[in-house]
Amino acid sequence: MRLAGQLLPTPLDQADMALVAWIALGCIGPLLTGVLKKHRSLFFGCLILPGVLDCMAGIGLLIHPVRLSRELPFGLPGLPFRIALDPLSGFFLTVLGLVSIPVLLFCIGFFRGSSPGKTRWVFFWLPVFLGTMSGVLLADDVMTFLLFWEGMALSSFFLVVTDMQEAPVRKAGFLYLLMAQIGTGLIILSFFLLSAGTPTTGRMSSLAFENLVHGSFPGWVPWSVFLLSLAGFGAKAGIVPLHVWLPEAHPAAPAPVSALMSGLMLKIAIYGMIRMDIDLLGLSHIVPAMGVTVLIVGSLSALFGVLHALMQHDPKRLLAYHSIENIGIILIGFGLFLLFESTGHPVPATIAFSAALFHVLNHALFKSLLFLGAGIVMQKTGTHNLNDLGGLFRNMPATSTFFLVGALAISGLPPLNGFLSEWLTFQSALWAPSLSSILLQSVVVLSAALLALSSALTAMCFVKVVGVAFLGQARSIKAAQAREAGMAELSGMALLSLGCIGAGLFPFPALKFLSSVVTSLTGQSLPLPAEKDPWLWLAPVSYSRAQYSPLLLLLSFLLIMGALAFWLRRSQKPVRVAPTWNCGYPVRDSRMQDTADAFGQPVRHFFAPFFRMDRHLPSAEDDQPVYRLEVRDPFWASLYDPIASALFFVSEIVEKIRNRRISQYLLYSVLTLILLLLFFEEGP
Amino acid sequence: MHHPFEQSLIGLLGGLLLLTVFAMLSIRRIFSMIRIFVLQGLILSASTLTVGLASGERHLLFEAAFTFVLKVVALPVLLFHLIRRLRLRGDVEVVLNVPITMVTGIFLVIFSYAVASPLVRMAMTVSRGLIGVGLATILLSFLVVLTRRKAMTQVMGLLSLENGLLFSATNATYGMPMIVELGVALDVLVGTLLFGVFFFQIRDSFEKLDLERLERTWED
Repeated sequence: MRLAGQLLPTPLDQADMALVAWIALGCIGPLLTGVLKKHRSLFFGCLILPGVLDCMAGIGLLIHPVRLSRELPFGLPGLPFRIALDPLSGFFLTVLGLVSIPVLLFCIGFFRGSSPGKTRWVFFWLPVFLGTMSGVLLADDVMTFLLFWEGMALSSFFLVVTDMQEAPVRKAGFLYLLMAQIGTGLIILSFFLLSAGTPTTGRMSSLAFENLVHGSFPGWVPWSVFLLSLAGFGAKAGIVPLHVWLPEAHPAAPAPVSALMSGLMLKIAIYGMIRMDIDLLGLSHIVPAMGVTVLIVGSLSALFGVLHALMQHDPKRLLAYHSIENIGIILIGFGLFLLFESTGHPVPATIAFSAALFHVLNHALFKSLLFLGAGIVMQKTGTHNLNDLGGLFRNMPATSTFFLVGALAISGLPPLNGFLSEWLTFQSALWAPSLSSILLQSVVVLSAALLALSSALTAMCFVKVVGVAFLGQARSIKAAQAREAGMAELSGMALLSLGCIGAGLFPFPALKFLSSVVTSLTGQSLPLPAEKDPWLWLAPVSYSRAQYSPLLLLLSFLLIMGALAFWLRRSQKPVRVAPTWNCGYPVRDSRMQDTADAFGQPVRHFFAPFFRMDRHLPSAEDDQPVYRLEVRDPFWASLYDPIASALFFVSEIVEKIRNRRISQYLLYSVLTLILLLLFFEEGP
Repeated sequence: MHHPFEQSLIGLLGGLLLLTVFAMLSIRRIFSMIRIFVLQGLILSASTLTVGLASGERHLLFEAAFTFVLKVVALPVLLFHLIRRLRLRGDVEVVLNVPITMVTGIFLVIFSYAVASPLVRMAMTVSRGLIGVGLATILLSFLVVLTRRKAMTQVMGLLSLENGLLFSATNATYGMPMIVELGVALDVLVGTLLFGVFFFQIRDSFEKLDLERLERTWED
């Protein structure tokens, strides 16, 4: 074993190589477009290799959890770049590798036939995006972290505006860039506060992460760091109310980019939050109220995201709102962890933490699968509107099947993976009675209820998507003529579907890996008793408390379905094939089917305060009745529009001060001089 | 260290300097303004000479000579030449009317004396009582720049500002290091030459030496 360890590169070496390879490939990629005119797939194939390396590095590290670190040979004078790999970054690196491989596979087919300019653009920014994301995970000091973080923000911005000829795309891109920069600013502030609390050695190398750890702070610093990092990383992750860029940027970006952004980049933000709050700030500074804050933000994001997802009829916009919801679910798990950990309940805390991490993996898998599926549907049908689709199961059976797997997974239905992480979150929330204060108990119970509500609404939303897009009759000619996706796209989606099913059926090994992450950060390990066969049964705490066997569930489900089908076939009477009852209607066309908006109507009615509706109802006498409905995000009207108008107001006043007269500028400098002189007089 | 005669002489020169700046504020003709600037340079070099004699600082004598050459001979020649080339005549347009400017100037003098009082306590020079005058000269020159509309007169204000700086430096700390003073003097010379070139450019583009034109073009 030791010999093998010496011969093989360490996980850190592998991750390092992957990072360098991605960025190097990005730099030579645009030059290769001319050479690889016919063999673009070769380039994406090369990009997959670093993803495999990242996977190997992450899994290798999770098997033997250690902390590896190193200084890079380049950097600023007195401020070397440091990279490190520990179980937490190893886990996220594994997710990065796992998702990047199928998405890149998908890219081979998806970008076939795009213009050379666009190809060159993607060839440069896509590898750089992947490389900077892995760089954020590897960074071991503030400078490196921020450098890669900013690189990630910029490269994803450039990827969002790939189709920059269209004005909405540019607008979405700038909104995204603005939110990303605000987030980065807040993150820099929180790092600043953290490093201010450390004993200063007077050297710049004190910016390394290990020197930030365990500083002793004045009372207000932990709270400020916590809130700043929640807002800063939250702006990237898409928590309510900083989520506004998500529903704009995702529909604008090409499908694989949305898949990577939603599946991976939002998770990098979660990684940053965990790194900042648990590792750098330290668990000793966490108080229960912080956990409650995260819980409330998470629950609100979950509910808000799913409610708005139900109202959308652009598939990618809908998925973007679901990303907000799922980030909310992850934050509920994280909040439960903070709450239970700070009140001294390690068992539910570790369960909640592993549930949050597990959901990171699960969401990365099924959300990128769904984005890829939606992207290929939109590419093949040429429409952004669910109400123009329909009946795609007939023309695109494989794509539809994979999309269905993703839809089942995100809806939290057993035996797929989405169910597991939500179930684990509930398991942790069920410890609420052990909390001492009634207030904390009720917060936990309430957030669990909201989690249940939002996952039920998710299921409803995906009934809508699958029902409207894939079942029924085609609502447009394009949808009727859609063709099945190519092999590359299908294999990418197939890999992700396999991932969803695998993680759902074999949770034990996944949790085993997660357990080493949890142990490395909290010092406690997941109970995970292995009395029964661990491959068959999963019990987070003990078998008497709760247990779950996905394989047996699947088996019994298949048995029942098989028996039912057998019985139905046996008892079937001969069927007369005839036109459906048409009750005197002369025509039956596809417009008579339920629309996507119709599916959302009951929810819209019930949760009216969450929406800002603009509805036009046709009158009875109208010859050409039109029904139009626009549902807007209430945060635009209540939060962002006032901020924007205040900014304009202030800048108009400033414009008056700056009225372009030389003598007035001179007056300002004289007044400044006089004021400074006054100040001088009051001095010693 | 008692030089009652020199001290009262410097006091007189300081008063005259202040008077020239006020004259600059109130005067309407551009030729007279340059003449006043010559007078100002003369006063400045005389006061520097006196301070140099009273304190025994050798470099102040050089400085006095230098100031004389630059501000009484070179710059006025240059400025008169410029005016002749530009064919500038007539009145100086002011932004603010003269009485208001004068009253503001008086307040500025009082203010600078107030501000200078801690400096006076710290300074060790024979002529430390005149720091306030230097400061007042600086602020009043600013006022000249502010209230004039023509580019030419604004430059006059800036030049007088530089005189005020020199006067303050001489009285507060026996002047700046020689190298700095030489540099500043050279800057003033080069600056005036550049302004000359600039004026021609402005006049060629806008047919008037009025900065308001320039301001309006910025807005477009």
